[in-house]
Amino acid sequence: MARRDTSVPYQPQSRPEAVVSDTGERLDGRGLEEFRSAFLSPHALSQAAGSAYAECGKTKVMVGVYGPRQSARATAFSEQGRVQCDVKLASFATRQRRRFGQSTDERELSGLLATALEAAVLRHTFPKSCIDIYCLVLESGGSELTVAITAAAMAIADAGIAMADVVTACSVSRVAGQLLLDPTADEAFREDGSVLLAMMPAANLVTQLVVTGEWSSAQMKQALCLCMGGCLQLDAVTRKALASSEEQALAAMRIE
Amino acid sequence: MAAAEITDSLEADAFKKLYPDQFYARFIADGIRPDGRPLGRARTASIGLGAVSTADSSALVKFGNSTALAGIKLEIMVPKDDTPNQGQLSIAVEMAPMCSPDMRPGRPSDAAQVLVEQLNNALLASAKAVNLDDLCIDPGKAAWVAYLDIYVLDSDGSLADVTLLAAVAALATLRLPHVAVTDGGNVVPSSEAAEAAAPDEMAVEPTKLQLRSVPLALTCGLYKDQLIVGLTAEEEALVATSVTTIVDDQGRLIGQLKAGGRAEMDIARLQDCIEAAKLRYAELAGILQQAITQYDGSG
Amino acid sequence: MLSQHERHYIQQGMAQNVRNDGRTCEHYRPLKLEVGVLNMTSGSARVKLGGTEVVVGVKVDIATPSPDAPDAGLAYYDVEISPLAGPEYLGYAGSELGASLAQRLARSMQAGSDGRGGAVDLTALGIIKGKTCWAMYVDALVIRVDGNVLDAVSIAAKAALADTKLPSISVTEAEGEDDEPELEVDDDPSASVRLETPSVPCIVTVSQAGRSYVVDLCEEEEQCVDASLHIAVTAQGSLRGITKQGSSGIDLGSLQEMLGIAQRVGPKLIQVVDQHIASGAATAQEED
Repeated sequence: MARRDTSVPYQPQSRPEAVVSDTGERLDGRGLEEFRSAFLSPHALSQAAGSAYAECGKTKVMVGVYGPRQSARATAFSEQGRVQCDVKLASFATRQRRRFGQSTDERELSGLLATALEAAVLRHTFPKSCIDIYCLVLESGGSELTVAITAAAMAIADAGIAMADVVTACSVSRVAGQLLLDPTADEAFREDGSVLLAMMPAANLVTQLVVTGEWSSAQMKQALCLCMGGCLQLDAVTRKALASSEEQALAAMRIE
Repeated sequence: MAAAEITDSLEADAFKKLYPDQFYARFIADGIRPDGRPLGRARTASIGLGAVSTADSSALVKFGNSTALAGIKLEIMVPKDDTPNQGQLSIAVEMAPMCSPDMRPGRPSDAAQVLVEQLNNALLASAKAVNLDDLCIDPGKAAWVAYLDIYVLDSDGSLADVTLLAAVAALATLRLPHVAVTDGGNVVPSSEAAEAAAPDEMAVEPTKLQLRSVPLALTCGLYKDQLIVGLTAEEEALVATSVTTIVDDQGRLIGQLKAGGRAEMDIARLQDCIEAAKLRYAELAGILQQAITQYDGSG
Repeated sequence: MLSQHERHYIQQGMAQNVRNDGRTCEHYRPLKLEVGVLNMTSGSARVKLGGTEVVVGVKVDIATPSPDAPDAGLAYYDVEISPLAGPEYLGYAGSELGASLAQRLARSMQAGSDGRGGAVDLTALGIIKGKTCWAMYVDALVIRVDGNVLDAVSIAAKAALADTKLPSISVTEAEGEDDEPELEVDDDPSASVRLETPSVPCIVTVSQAGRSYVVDLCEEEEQCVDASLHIAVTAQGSLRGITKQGSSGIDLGSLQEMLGIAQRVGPKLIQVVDQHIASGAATAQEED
């Protein structure tokens, strides 16, 4: 069997040059400040304590949560429970095939995801233990981290782990001076700056902020405003999904 | 009334947790399983094709709760010297850490290795489902390597069955682009190469990969001398031994694996497993064909 | 580990704008900076920020450009915590910390996918479009940890990049159709070209403790804060990369305040750093 390293990708199409038309329309027909349609579904897996599947345009993420349970990694005593995240992208999730084995950007995503969720989880309710959040990106169509954060928060809620509030996340790409909400992979490729915001909408607290590129204060304010609006919109969808999932579970119990 | 119901279900749950074997035995004695299935019936299968647009083909398969997602990515390789007309099919299985409480990220699990072996046997070695000559582009110069990666998302038993069906479904819907090798050694779409040569030629549609045979698997278990078909994870922990049987579209036996266990199986029993596998085959083949026709029809 | 009372004492000090060492909340510790400390590199710097000590070396090597940016070079950032800093940094914990520091540093310098818009203009590292370019490896080694390692690393990286000289390269066009253009690297150090670094930012880490916002925490203070924002600021006061750290949420008002503090403190810090670099370069020239 030949070694995997000896093959080259086959990619006839390059990414589109212009992602916004002169009339402010994006490639998929959205306006600059429009979200992709989101499909959020808690309790997608049977073995995990809590799980969720989220689909935003072409970004598909599956999250499974285990715990509270004993931590496999840490051995030191801790009064607060630990939140351990592991993010992986499937080998076929991106345009170019990824090798098996964790890469540096997956480690970074895991760290950013953990920070985004830690503030919301009531960690004092499971001292000495940990919760494991396993996230698999099945298809990477842009804004993977934002979808992962929202899905993970839903999965934690689905697992019945005490939380102060749900966490929703939203990102903005700046392309040729214009701010695009919820960018696709093609749009993010052409960006010269990006802002990712994760927040607890009811508590109005920011749990994660990741900014790249050069920003003036005024533009930063604008981008943050846009993200916050997106987070609030997503919050309504998330709560609805969680509520209807709970109703379904209760109805099933009653029949039995 | 409601309080009594809750107490009953709590008692049932507690009994199941404390005495799983006795709990199960009671159902089997009545010829039925906890999820209501008779002993000889496997779970309904559902197949979703083309779910991942970044993959060259993909299939999501569920047997009850057991879920596997197979995706294929095509890359270009230079054929090996001793097989200049052949491409390659590289199979990998990963048990996603979310699929079961025993899985941890990072470490490749033993279960995954066993599944890869079985898939390699079924698709390449024994059944020769894929003819590697079909993956050739230009003999000695370029060929396709198809990376078939399968992720087990939810591990609720019968993983060999689910992963093989996902692999077969993904392969059956794989389309190989029409390409040509330029003088510089690059692989480009034929339409480009053709335009350079003769601009009047039409663009050619990608070709479907032809499967020479379609192998499918069924895992059965032996519990107190009864044959149980299509096991869940709980059942796999309770049965004395389990057997995975792989048959193909022509009724041929491709492989049968009985991996240890606490009980022996005589030849008659193994024959029963083969018969059960053939029956299951008819069921699954129908579902698979329907899914493929629908997928092809939708473009 | 700190006791509850020590933590309380430190937080009270921050609330009253007088920290244990007498600094105000927006004060940096004394900074010592030297450039050109490593001979075998293209650029280097050593920084002491209070007790934290970091050395950064920049090396360049010939590489193939990425297909998305054929006329630009490549930049790689790596941070390692030396075991000299303490036994707790050996093994997995140290490498995890190093990796997260490197990611934050890289984010502050990040260019677009076409190689433009970064802190360092990567097109200045291109040699032959589509075929050859410079790859720049910025490696930081943390020797001593006394809080605020990321800011120290960022200051050292900025100084090392300002010190970096690229060897002069002459490209001879190919003679025949099938020949490759020839590259000649000039070994003479005086012929090398300094890298342009006007937009390289410094990272200012602003942390929140109750209602106080503090910069440049020493090691004990780091255990008393709720959440931090690592904010990269340029000399002109624009923001160049932000990452949040810590397990508490930050409300929006505090967020704006912390950004404001970084934009106030950052340019002043960069001024000090630039002065050190200039005087260091002056000393080097005198010695020559």
